[in-house]
Amino acid sequence: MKNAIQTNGLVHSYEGKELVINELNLCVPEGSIFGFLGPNGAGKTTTLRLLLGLIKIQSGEVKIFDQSLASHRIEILKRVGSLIESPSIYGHLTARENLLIWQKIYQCPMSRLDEVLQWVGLSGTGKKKAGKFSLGMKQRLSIAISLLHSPQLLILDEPTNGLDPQGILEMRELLKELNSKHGITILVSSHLLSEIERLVTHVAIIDKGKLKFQGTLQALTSVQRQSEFLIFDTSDNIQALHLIGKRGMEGYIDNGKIHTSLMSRQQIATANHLIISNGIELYECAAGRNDLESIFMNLIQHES
Amino acid sequence: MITTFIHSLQSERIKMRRSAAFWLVVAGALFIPTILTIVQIIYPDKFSPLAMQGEYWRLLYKHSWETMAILLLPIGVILSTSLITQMEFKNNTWKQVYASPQSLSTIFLSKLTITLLMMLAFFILFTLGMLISAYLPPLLNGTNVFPSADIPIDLFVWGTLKFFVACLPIVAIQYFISMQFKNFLVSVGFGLVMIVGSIFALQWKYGYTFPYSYSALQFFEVNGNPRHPANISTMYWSFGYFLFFTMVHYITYIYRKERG
Repeated sequence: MKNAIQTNGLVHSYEGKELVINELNLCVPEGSIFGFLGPNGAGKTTTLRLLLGLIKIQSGEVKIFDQSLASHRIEILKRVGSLIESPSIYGHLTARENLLIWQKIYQCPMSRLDEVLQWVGLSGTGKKKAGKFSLGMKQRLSIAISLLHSPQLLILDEPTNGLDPQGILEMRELLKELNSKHGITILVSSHLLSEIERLVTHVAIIDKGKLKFQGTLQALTSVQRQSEFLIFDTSDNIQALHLIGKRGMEGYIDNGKIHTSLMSRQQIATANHLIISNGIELYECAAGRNDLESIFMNLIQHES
Repeated sequence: MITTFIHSLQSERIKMRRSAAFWLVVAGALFIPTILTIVQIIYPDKFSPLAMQGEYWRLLYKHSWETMAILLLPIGVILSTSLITQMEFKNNTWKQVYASPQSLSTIFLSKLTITLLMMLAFFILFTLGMLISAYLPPLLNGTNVFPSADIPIDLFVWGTLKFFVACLPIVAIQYFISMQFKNFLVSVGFGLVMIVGSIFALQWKYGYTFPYSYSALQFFEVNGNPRHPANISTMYWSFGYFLFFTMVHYITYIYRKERG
């Protein structure tokens, strides 16, 4: 599969201080919805700004559609739509006039104005000035602007920021539709995996400027499967942990319960027998699984 | 390149619709003519005889430009130039502009051109306002004493064009400053301090070297009372400063590491 975006050894620091982006090798496959995850301050926005040429590249390379951004900036930007951080709209103009500004730049057909307004549900705003829109409406207008010239790649930085649950749901549906019906590759950043796990096909996790994970959502889910464990809840967890430890079954106590790695059926029976036969009451014996959010947290906290 | 520039300029023109800079240009250009019109309507006996004089147009031109040239015009240029760039900061739109397929030079030039076009619109409106202030009062107060002399085209066209050139250094400097600072008050504050400086510069024999003083110097020259040496062309100085500050700005702009 070809990559819509590829960065090679991207490095960036502000005023020569600590590295904000550290040897970043990002690969966004064409046709994917790519979730770019990381906690606040991880370097997501800086990366996206580098991808759009808003920050001069200090070291490394950015390739979009197999062309170097440094030498083909204008050709690349003709095929890219973007929304970086807060909405970029002219508050004294109407939604249509806002789009008209960009229609002049991109020279796309006038019919696209009504089309994208309809897509984002703003066709009925008429003469209302964009400055009087709610945050959700402003966000949707920004999406409309980014879609106006029928881009092949959308770069969205936390597009659901400030949206209510209904707005988040609508945004998710819109992005899915753009990807499936129009084949647009979407790179979307977020600091919450739970917010985009139902949207993306691929994920990259960044922390302190370094890539911690990159791959398909399935690959991340398999990391989740590997992290399955057993839980024992007893009347004396310390004694119970000591008893099963003697039989080579390692574990730890977390949140008042014993956590061990997965065991065979025979091992589970042995552990249960050991606990009960030593007069300890067993309240619970169950399989546990980290949700994607905790895997995400584990990945970003691993080297902290 | 030219086509892209025209498209960019068209987009800048749309941004001006109902903007603060647009209303400032309209209100600023019509302010003095409106006052002159009202005064002539209230005191027809005082002004009607003047209309019959051959010097009427020069007097009107002088009265109209008096306050405008020394104070209101530089303030208006400072405010409108700052407002035009500030619009992008205020609306958080610089990043969208720089992420669009336009060269940096196109963005720089189209912003500067729209500022100059707004200024040109100001001068055209102001001149039309002057003409209206001559013809409207006799119609409204019923005296029907219209100016008898021909309109001195050279004064109204060339004289006004010189005022336009006199403002170019202010445009270039304010454009430079307002692109560097997100805070609107920095560029406006700097501009206002420079205007005060220009008033002091008028008393100085080398005052013609001060880039904010050319509008006032032009006014004194038009009235036959020049405040600068006869062998000095303020137009050349003005244009020179404009080119110098625009070039310096362009170079620093092109080499900026971060945009938007």
